[in-house]
Amino acid sequence: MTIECRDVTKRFDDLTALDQVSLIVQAGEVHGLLGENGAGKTTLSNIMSGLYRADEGTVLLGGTPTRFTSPRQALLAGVGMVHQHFKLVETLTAAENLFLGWDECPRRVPPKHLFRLGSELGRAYGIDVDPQAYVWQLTVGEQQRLEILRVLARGATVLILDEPTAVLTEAESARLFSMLRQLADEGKAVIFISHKLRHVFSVCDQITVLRGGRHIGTAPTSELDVPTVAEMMTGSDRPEAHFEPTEVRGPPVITLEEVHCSNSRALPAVKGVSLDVRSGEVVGVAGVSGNGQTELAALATGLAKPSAGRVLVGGQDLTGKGPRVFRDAGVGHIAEDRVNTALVQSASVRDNTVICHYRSQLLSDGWRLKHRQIRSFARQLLDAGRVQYRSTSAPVSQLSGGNQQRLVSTREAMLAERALVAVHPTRGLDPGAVAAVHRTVRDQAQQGKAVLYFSDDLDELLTVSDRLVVMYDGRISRSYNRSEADRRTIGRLMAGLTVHKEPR
Amino acid sequence: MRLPLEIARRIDVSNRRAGLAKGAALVVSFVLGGVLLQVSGRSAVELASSAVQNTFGQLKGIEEVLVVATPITILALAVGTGFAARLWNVGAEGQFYLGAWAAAGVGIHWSEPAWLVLAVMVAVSALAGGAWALIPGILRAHYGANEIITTLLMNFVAIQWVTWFATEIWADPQATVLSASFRVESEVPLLFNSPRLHAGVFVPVVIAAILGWALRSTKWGYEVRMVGSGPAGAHYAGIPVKARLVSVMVVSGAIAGIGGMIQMTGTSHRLSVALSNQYGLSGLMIAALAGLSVTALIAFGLLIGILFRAGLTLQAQGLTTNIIFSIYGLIMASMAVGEVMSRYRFRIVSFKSAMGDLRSVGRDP
Repeated sequence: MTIECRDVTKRFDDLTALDQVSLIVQAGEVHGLLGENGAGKTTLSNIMSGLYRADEGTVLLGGTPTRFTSPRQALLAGVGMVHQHFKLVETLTAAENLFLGWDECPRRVPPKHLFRLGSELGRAYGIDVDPQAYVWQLTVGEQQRLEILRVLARGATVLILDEPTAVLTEAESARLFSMLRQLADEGKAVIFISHKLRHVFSVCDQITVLRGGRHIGTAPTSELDVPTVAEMMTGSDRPEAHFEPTEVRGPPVITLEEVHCSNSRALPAVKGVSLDVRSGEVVGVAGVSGNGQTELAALATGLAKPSAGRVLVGGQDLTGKGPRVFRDAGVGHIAEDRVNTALVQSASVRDNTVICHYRSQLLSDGWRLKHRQIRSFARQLLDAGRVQYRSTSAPVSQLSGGNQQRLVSTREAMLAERALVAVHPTRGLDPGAVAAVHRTVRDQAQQGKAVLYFSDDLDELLTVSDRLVVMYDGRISRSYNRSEADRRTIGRLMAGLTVHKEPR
Repeated sequence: MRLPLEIARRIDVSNRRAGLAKGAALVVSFVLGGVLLQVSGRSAVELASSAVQNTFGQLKGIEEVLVVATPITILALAVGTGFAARLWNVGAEGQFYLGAWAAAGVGIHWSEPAWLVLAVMVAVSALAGGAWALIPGILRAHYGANEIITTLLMNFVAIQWVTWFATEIWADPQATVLSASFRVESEVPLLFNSPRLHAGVFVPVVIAAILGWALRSTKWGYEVRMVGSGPAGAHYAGIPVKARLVSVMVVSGAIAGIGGMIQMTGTSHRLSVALSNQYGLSGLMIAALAGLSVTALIAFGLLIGILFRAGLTLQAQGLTTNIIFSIYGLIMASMAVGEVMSRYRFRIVSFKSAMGDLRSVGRDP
């Protein structure tokens, strides 16, 4: 069945996640939905699959307008979604998961019967999963096939897959692609959400790019190439502000020497990166998300320990030291995960404001905290960052996303005596606030601090960086001064087309 | 089929609503306890009034409430300390016994001068309780071993250890109390010429005051609270998460150890396996009810003390103290349900509309 979104708008508090986005996916096609984190891909698919409701605009299924109030309704009407994080019950068998919560399933059913039904379904849709295996025994690829089978078994004619290849090996991805192809040939509409360009190009018929909640373009894959799409994803609007590159650069403050590191799934994520960030300069790290930027930032701030290589701050070897040592050495860190890392959500605004400074002479003395100074310090910092708050003793979780980000940025900039590592510091902010963050970052550099700036927005990097490197598959390219960095080259590097291996 | 009830999650639960839920749960559990008594063939009203009479109707009753509330509240404070860092110290009972054991080791062999012996006993009991809690603390912080299980299991070890000393090594053949050690001569002084009420009753108040201040106004307390609220954020900010987890466990164990010392020098005067009447369990329950407020810890400690005393008077009328544990169970269950319910908004919708809603599912709108 054909699914169509017409001028869909969705707002969360002060953030517009989708701004009049339209999309048509025909039966029989695999449609790639591309965009960086926060571009609105997941929000759009959540609207199509009934998890969210659009504030404005309509979703049409086979030409009829729909208004689903739950994913269950959407699924019964034929729209099935396979989430990035599987919704399977690990301690049940594959067959049990297939029939879980399905009204047609009898209340009591012998396991044998269930297994038979399970394998019949698998055969009918050409997806083989052992119905008797427990979910925890299945590989990630098999779990995903089970999820897809579960959705298909309930009669889905529109299949939405959110980042399906993020957890798969190359071989499993290839297998998934041939399955998606087959499903499309059978007349299903398949929506493939990803920010992995290569995967999208190898399976999709049509590609739609979203950026910042807006529809940037839709075209058949045959008319597009990887660098063009990379550029569409990262933006080509003219920078709104201009900062003069730093003339005088001091000695290196953050030095990474051939560092290696694994990600949370124990797969190599940083594969031998060497980089100097000098006093007075902003070094931008460009790249499509998931190429090791998160882990590189963790290495530069002590949150992760390198499995090989050295990390130096101000010439001092801090390899293997924790975040406390890095902070004492004057390294501020605007963390990517604002919700669970940069802030302690259930603690108060005040407690979060001083969490990096409470040990200073100003706020404590020996054992004791100086409550009065802490209160005035917190108010000063919040005012300086123009954070809007009702009470400093209310939980920080009551602040809006933008205000939380401002709190973190201001706090970390204040802490950073020598260096600032900023990871997506403007994500989720409105343009005015973005400009303010850029100014703060440039000011830091002006004051002689070294700034390492991660972003997936090329415009932003070209605005704030003195030079930039591109990260792809755990490695970085040589560095490009802002003047010599042209979008075409950077776009190619981001897509992994040519990787320069000269360090620095 | 769906219930004609609409359930929605609340984003913020106000303190008032949470308190209301606790109060309501308490009332519900007392009513259910009454039903329980009635079913067992007793008049609940009669029993309740005699319990109230025996508890509040005489000075002795009030003294007994305080005597029994003392160890319970100290243990509640010990467990509550762990809660500040979201740690469940189920082993407070074992640390309590080891504290008493260490104090007995000093007190059996040495009795003059009394004040110095008492001071040394407080120190060694805190050390013993703290050391016993250090083990699960390290296992949790550095190796991720669930502290609920390790502390629980270590209770059994502690109690066997104390049994061995009480019935073999320090056993007093002349003791009238069954399987108890020699008498510990140093005693916490009695108050107001009372036969039972001792100065140890002030200990929970002192501990609560220090603990409240430490959690609110020291760097350590701030760090502990941050570790409890969000370990990932605390680690990122440079707070030594593992060290604070271990230290909280040790402080919790030390408080429990002091509780054991107070109980022995104030009430039993001998080391025995009957030193605690499931006080650790009561402490856990109080801490779970009171949350992070030390005032609430003391208040709930008193409440449970009253229940305990009431239970003892019921015993005289042919009921076992098990009835008290049944009421405990009811309180815990009602509180847990009340806690969850306070986080949701309930709205009764008509049965018809619930059915209609169901039918519309799956149709093209």
